[in-house]
Amino acid sequence: MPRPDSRSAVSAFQRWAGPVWVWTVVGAMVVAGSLGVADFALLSNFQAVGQAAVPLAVVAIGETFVILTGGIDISVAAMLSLGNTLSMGLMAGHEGRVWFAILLTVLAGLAAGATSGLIVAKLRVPSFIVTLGAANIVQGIVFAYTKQGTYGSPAPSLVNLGYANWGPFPALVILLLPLLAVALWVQNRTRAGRHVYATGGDPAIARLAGISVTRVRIAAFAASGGLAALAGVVISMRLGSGEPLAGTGFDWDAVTAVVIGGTALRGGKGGVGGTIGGVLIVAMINDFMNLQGISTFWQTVAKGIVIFAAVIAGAGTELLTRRRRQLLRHLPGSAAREAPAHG
Amino acid sequence: MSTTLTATGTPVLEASRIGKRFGFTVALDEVSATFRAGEIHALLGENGAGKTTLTRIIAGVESADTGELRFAGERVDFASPAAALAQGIGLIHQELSLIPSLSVGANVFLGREPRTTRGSVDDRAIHRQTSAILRYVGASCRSGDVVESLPLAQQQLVEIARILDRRPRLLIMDEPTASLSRENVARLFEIMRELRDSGVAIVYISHEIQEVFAIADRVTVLRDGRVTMTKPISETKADEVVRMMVGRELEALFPPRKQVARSPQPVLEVAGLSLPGHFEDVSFSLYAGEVVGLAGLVGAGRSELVQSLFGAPPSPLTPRDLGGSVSVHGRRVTISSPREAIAQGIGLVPEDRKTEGLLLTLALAENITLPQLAELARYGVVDRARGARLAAEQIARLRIVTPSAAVPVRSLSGGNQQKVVLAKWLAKRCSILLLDEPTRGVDIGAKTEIYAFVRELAENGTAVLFISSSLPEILGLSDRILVMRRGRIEAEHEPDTTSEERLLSAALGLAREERPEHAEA
Repeated sequence: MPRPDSRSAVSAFQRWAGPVWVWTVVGAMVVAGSLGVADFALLSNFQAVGQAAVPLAVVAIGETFVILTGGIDISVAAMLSLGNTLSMGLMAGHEGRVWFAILLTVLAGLAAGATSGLIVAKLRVPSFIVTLGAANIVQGIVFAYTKQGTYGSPAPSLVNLGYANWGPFPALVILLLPLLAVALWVQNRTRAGRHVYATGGDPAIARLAGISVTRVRIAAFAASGGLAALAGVVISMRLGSGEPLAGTGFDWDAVTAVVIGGTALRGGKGGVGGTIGGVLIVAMINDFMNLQGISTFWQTVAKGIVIFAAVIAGAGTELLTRRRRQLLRHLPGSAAREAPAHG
Repeated sequence: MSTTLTATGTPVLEASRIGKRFGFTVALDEVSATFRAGEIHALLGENGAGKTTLTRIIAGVESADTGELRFAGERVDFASPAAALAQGIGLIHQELSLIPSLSVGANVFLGREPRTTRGSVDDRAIHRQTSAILRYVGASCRSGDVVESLPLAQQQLVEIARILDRRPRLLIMDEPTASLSRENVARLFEIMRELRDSGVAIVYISHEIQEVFAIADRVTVLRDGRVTMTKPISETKADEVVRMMVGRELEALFPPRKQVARSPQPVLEVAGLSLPGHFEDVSFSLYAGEVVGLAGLVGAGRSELVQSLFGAPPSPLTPRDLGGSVSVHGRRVTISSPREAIAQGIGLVPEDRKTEGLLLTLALAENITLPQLAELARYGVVDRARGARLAAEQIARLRIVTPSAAVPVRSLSGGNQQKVVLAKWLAKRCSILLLDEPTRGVDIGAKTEIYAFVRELAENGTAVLFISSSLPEILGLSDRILVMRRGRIEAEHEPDTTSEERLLSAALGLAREERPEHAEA
């Protein structure tokens, strides 16, 4: 029987919610914001932060899976623009076409992502380059069919949903919960999830264990493409139209959220739970600055500093633990190496 | 899953006339062997004799060029270790095949996770079964522990547990005891006997001859990719086994030694050098004009020692983790980086020239001049004409076969690539040259040439320390021979008064008389 102790309680928390320190920072930011930033501690402000954070959360969940496999997807911004304009074009303000438009859009995102994944997995091209190419192609296509102008419009009910609150909670946040639950379930409770971690941890060993690393990678990029397209639908609820540059900035914001959330860029470690914490941190930085009337230029600088802090903290502890283990492993008296048999 | 076990003595796996080449090297030459149910079959041989290659072919990690495998009477050709394991062939290697960032349980069930009726991974079943198998092998870690947080011995036990949980009919163990404590080894032997008695065929590779005589029923010796002996263990002795392991003809390709008068002061003096986990209390001196061979088994710590002397101990360790002292020309030095080592006149020809010795896409001339750009440069601008002259000199001197000095090193043959690595340090004129397996993967012609250059360098006053896994090479080229075993200098031999058998015995820890001044610690 599993013996519950503090160590396993911590690791269970980390499996579902991410590193403790990420949530400590989130908590600290809430406290600091409430004390130091005017208008921060209002319910309406929390609701606004929540609503604004949802599209990024959707994109970042997909990005998490790609990064867990050891890749990176920088085409999510273009995919979001695609999802946004494609769904709005298909919907064109008709209530009856909502589900049809969402379904086709997500399928398009899945297909585009799977194509990137196929190239990454089969041709062993670094995913950074592949998705850079994919981003250009997709964004170019979006410009071509939108003629760089506003394109299509959402059904009115969607627009309402974008700013609605159910009780004290923003509707978008409530709608995000089932998606988050599915992502966490896949990550922690399915074979596919386990194989994602194995692929990122060591693809050669994963392959030797009979895992199809190719399939895992394709699936991760497909999920990232599909979710970015879905985020395009979500953002239309707030924009009220299809915009060919709707996704601008989402690529690096997504990577930022994932990295701040404790997922290692080398892959194999981290998860969706921490990413949500990372999304909240990014959203709150933006909110602080907006409330204080600080320009977006400085918001960008602040995000950069947060990335540095997160990466340095992560890399530093990683290096220290590896060194400590290597040294501990071979201390006299440790189980690893005893006196030679002839001593 | 295979639990139908065959009666004792029936062949479980028959390998017939297996052949395998890697480039110039013949790894296996018509090797035939039969592994029987209920038998522990030891596979012995020097480094590079072909033991590991044979087991990797049997377990589906690599495929044979020629020959055939019959498993339980049927011809097989496994596409992957997972396929072989599913059929009942389990391989426990020296290198771990665990994913460090995953938990013990996730590793034990990797690729075959049990599922509940709802489709999720059945973590309870994993936990239950993993805990049981860990208890069985005597591991103290738990199913939920992350592999990378465990000591090496526990990781090795997890590896063993992972394979045993599949209940293989043929179990191959390639040096499973290297990192285990004595209790762990004792428990492992108990398990091996239990498995044997229940009809499992076990192939056991070890460098510990005493262990082999304690546990094996039959022994097969490989030498240079050929089987030299197969006998029941009761009909042989340790000295016969060692004799069958060595005994290659000494090729007449070594340059004659010239007695150079030894200067009173060593060029390099190493005293009590230690690196946690790799080597301990290593002391020796190196004099100008001599070639010193460093013999030992793979894993004895030889490469790590020369890397450390070059200021680049294996990651994540750093030069700061080194204990002991190093003196160059009588002056105590701290070698904190390869840059510092080069400044002290130390050069290293690393074991893997492709990843550590050469910039494959750069031109030959650029590779040769790389360590001395500072001398070739004026105000930071490299004098290309001088660089080209220097490269041309070295190409002629080492007889590097190339269309021009401008071709990328990648396009050269292995032997010529290795000469380029040597040329780098020849051009630099270092006073201490460290060579790690300088002739690996090099054809005979280039080998002779490399031997001649090493000798020539020594005659010009360079002190050379070279690692080789080929005992004939060690005997043929060295003025003195140091034998390393388990991170310590075990013995010092003179080439004229020693033999391959005696060197191998020292490397295996069978001989204890060689270094009286360092008697039993």
